[in-house]
Amino acid sequence: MSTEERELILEREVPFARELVWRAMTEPEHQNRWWGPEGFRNERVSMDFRVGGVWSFDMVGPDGTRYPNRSVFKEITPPSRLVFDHGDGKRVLFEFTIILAQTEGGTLITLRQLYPTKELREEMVSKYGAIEGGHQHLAKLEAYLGRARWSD
Amino acid sequence: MLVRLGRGEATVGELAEPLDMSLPAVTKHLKMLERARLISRGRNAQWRPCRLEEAPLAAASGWIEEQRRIWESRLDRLESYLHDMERGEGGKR
Repeated sequence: MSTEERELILEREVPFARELVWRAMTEPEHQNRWWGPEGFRNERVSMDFRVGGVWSFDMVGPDGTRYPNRSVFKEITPPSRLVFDHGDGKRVLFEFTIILAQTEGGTLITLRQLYPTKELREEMVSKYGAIEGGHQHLAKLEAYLGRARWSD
Repeated sequence: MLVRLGRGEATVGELAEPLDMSLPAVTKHLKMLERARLISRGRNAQWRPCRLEEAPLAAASGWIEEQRRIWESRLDRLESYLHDMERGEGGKR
């Protein structure tokens, strides 16, 4: 299974300087302010910002449910590239890469989730499978598949 | 192709017809969909009609949509927070 078959990529261009985006995404005081959905907050935040360092926090839902997040930094190249293994404290779920590229109008943010194994990806798929039936998204899905090549 | 298969089984030729794609390209795309287990193909060597595998498809679609939704809304919040940051700090573009 090649790399692009296990990854999910998102891009967004924002009209802000790359240094500002980098800080918003990597400094806990800033990151805490936008990470969680409405009604969620981050607690027990701890970040050891160096290669090999751990970044952990609990996402706490409106009903008090805790979702532990634990990442280990693998590459830190300010202000352009951050790579970490992301998991729930029990295991690594995927490798996450943030790439910030300067553009004329601001910064292009590229996010990439790379799953370590086919099995884990399939587990994630079946876990979320109940959320929504497929048909209304067929065309979108196919376009997406063309890009991400979800094959094993 | 997936939309077409949503209406029922079809052969490679039938799938290729409305598309501006070569037969080999269509076959390659079908192989990818088959490997992703989103479709299955009949055993008959000559025809091998293609059929939608609805359960994995719904699962894959739901999951991809969910991941996208989470990250799109997270990026929305990041963007509006960047506005606040820039204002609060008299930051520069």
